[in-house]
Amino acid sequence: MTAVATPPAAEAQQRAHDTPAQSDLVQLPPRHSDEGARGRRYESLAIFFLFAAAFGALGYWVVSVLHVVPFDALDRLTRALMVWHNDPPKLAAIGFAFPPLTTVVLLPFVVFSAGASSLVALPVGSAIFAGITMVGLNRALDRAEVGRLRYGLLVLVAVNPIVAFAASTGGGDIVGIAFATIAVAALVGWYATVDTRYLVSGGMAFALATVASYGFIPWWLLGAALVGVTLSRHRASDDEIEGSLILFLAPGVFILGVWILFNAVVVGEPVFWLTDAASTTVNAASSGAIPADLGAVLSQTGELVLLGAPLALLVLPALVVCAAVQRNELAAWLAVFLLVAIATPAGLALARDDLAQIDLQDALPIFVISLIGVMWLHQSLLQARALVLALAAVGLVISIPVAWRALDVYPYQSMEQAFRAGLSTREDQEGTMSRGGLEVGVLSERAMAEFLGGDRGRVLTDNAQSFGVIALTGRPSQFLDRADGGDAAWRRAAARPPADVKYFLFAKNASGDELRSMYPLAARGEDPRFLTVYDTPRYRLVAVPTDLGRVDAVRAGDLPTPPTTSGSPATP
Amino acid sequence: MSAAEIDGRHDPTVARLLSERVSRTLGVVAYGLEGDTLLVASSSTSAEVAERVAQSVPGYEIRLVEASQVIVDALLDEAYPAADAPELVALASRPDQPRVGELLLELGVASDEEIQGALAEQQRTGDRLGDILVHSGVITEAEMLAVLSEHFDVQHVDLTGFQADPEIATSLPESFSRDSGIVPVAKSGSTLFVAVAERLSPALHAELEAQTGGQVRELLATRTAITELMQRVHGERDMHDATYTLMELAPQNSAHRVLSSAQKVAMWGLIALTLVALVLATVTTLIVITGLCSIFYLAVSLYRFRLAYLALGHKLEITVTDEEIAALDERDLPVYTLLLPLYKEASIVGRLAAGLDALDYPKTKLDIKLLCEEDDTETIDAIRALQLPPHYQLLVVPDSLPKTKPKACNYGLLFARGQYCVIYDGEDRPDPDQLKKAIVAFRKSPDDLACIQAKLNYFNRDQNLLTKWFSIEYAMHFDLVLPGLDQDGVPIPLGGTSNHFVTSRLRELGAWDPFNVTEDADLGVRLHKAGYSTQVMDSTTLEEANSEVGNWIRQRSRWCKGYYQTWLVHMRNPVRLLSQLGLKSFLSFNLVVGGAFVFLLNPIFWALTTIFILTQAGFIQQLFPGFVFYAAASMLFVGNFTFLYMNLAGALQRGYFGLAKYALLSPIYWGLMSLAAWKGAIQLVTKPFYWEKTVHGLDHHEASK
Repeated sequence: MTAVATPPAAEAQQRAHDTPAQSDLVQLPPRHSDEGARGRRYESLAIFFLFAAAFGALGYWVVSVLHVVPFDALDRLTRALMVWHNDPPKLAAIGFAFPPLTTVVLLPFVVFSAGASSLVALPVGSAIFAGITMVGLNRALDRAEVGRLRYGLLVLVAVNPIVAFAASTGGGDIVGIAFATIAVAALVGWYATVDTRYLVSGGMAFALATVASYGFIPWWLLGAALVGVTLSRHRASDDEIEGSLILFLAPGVFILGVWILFNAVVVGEPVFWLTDAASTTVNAASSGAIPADLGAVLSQTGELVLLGAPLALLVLPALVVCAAVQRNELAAWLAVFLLVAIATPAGLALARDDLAQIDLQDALPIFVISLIGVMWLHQSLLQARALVLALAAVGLVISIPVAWRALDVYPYQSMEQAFRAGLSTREDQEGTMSRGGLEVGVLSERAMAEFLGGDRGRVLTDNAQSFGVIALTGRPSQFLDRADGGDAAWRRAAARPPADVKYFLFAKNASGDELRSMYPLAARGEDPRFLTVYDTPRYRLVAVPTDLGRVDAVRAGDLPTPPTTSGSPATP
Repeated sequence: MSAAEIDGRHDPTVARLLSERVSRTLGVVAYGLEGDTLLVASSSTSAEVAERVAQSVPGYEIRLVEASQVIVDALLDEAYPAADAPELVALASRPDQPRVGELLLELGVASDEEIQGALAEQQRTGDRLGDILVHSGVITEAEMLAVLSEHFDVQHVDLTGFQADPEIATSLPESFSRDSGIVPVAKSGSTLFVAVAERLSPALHAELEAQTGGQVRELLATRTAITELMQRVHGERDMHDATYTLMELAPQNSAHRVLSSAQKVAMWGLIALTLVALVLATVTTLIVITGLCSIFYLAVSLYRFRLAYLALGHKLEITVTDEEIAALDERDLPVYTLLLPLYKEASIVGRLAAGLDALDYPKTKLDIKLLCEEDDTETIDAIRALQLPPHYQLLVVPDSLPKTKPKACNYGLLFARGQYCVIYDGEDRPDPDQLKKAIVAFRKSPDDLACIQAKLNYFNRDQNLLTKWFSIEYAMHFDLVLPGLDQDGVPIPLGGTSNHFVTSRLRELGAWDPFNVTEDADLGVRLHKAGYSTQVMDSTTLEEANSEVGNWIRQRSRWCKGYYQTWLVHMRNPVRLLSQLGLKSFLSFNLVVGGAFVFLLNPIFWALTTIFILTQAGFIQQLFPGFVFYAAASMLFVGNFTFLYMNLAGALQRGYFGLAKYALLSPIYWGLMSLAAWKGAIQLVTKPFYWEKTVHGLDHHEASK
């Protein structure tokens, strides 16, 4: 502990009841005056708007002009749209395929469906969370007494291409990163000030981070261990340790508890979210696992760190040395955090026997922990602050070209290569191929959506594959999909379509399209009963023959209630 | 009585037991002894006063006999020959006058050590030696009175139980009489006898004579006796003031009517409209109602979260350092009035006095009003039995309706001498330096500050699960929510005790509303409306947490009823309220005070959720379409957790780590709250002004200490 303040007399009297005399740690009811808070608030607002605007503008250009749209982002956008505009509106549309918060955060931007059909919700959503991340970093840098040089460091972070991609294209990773940044910074704040306020913000931020990316669950547990062990080592009373851990863990337990309950109630499997769900990002290789032995995993992890977060290579040894020389406990804890950040995707790859689980975006948590490590080193190494800052700046500068290269060469990624190509050439990437064989752009989706405009009638489709079309129409109510009444109801409807269904919409190249599996000839345009009404490179719209076995028209709202999973995570 | 009869027992030296001036003016003379009985001849028209004056001679029974003025004058002339006529100046100016300390020593009522101690305190506080000795309990008021009487050669009089002639007693304006502590007790010719607790200044003496148009003679009496006499004299008028001042001053702010006429029309109109809508479009109407309730609930939850988060980790309340308190010059400290309404609390008055004695404030500058209801003889007797020093004053509130705490406080306020005043409950244990902290806080705050709320919590929080929950709730309310409101500059519904006021401003506002059963919350809103600010102070008063469920529900039902009353009073004219408060404060008022309505909604939503989970009933699903469902779901998952977590954070903000796990069980506590809320709501209709009395002293362990 670096700071142990003295409680005022009245509260000391109160606290005497709870805190044993031998404790050398006093977790205080906070003593902060409001002095300077207004200034910090304005600064935070300025940082937020500056970076959010910059990333938003970049994202708008990338998504709307260069047409670089990650498919997982588009899938989540569609789910969010269905929450408001499906018939009936359905919270269950969020599904269990992605960590729920990555979809929930898009909800405010699609209250009006134009937010989805224009795709503006994607860059705006990610830019806002990037702005929050920057505010979190700035506050942490300020607490680490970095001074005004912190603004320079923030800029270096923001221009890192991996960060810029996550911050601008609607990817879900930035949501978890924003909360994880706040959470770890709060832990550092708690350690430095012994102020319970940080346990509140840390606990809440970790809770949100875990439902934005399950990879943060180990961080959250590690944070709890940090709190418990630190208090115990300073001979805090059992009550204090217990109370502090409850304060820190309660939000996470609650939020994960609710999520487990939903899984249990809706799909009958409490841990469905862990066993079957995707990460926030679905990369090119998601559709087929790439066998992962230990050597390959270690090699891929090394490549991830080297290309995605080389700063960690400087920070990890520095933290270890600082911990050993200064007996600096938090430096040791942060080193463990960093190792966990590195090991988490590796562990997942081993567990799922899929090397593609080590995604390029997994570099972001490593990058963030490295930054917080830098801050703590700056705060701890009073005699070497300039050196720490200089090395950090060099590390961040070097990270930029390295990350730029990573966008191009790292094998397991989303649309990063297309993003790089777009920025380099400033040309529309529509129709080009990104690394891993992902076709860039939404031209097919847009064309199909425009065709379906007006009052063309109801379309039955597997939304897990045709989400792009649904999003771009802005009218999910026009579709009879798996979100309406659940998987079983949808399958029944697909087998005997209700009378008001006029069309089937197939995703031509998606092997996971269940409708295509049921009507393979029709999906290929070879079934004479199903007349192809409109065709794009990715989608086929066919008219449903009247003599197909029909049931009476039903409103989706009248269909049985979930279970539903709204399909598997999106694949192109 | 004839001259001959008097002659038989006449002893001129006995007459000198009474002051010549008073004897001559009152027409009374002591003329002899008969065993232990002092024989007193009186020609006075104020025989009772004459007798009481005679009773001031210690050690004798008094027998008053009527005599003509001629006889009395003759006896006085004999006892006081012309050469012995006293100087009609204060003896204080006489060189041979013994000092008060010397007199006390001489009489043996105080030891040298006690005198020296009092002199040391006098150096620090600048107070009079006699006052210090009386207030510290070394000597009694009666002893001091006797000494002062001797010291100033002013007759003293025992007014205990004295029934003054109303015409004489009210010959001075009541406010003047109360402010100056002067009560006319008798009149003889053009001479008015006034009872005073301390000698009149020449200026006041002159002013009095100018007012009355005659001579004024002082009779020294104890402050306690004078206050009691004032109550007897002005009781009826005081009760009227205590009950109706606010109603007459600002009827729109008084809860004497539950609903205004316009509100009644609006309410019945709304009910009729709803019924019609229910008949015409049942489901749609229910959806609208559900939606509105959900949105309101969610707004209340989010606002409370915002307030709590604002306060979390920040020092939003006024902080007073030990150095600032040490820098106070006690000579400059003003008189501080403490109002303590008590009802059926005889068992705790001993503890109460001990707690108040622990306050770090010069006793001579304390003005403690123990406010008892007339029918509560047990408490009154218990207080009298304690023979408390004179900074404690027992004020017996005449029995009348509404019999409420605010009415008692208003009554006490009429007698308050302090520049500042504060309310404590009987079982309260304020931080010892709380009054000094309040003084510093008032002095360093803007002029518009009219009230400072100290934080409240409980000393018996570990007694049982209920007291733990209660302590957690208070920690959140007083350590997070109120400082958050303070920071936002919006109305603060005051807590029931430890509200420190600038007395003049409190009077200016008409003080508390006796018809409102949460007069504290109401007053907080009225202060804000009047343009005054309220702040929270970093000082705590520990109270006794209600430890029995039934008792707790009674108390909480009153609080809920009072919040509904307060909301209805101030929302009589929403447009006017909006213009008075501004949008931010208007919304805050509706979410904080109006927020009490959510406890009525809780059981309904809980029931709907439970029934739906158990039965999957379609009609319930129908009530929650789309947006309504999202608001309700947010309310269920976000709102409930927010409340729970803020409870937890509040407990830890206060350092109550051991209570953390109990905060997780708070939803059960909310169930009790809803029960109480419904009781309060029903009582608002059936018994709007009924004061659900909280029984104190249930903390047996503490009580036995």
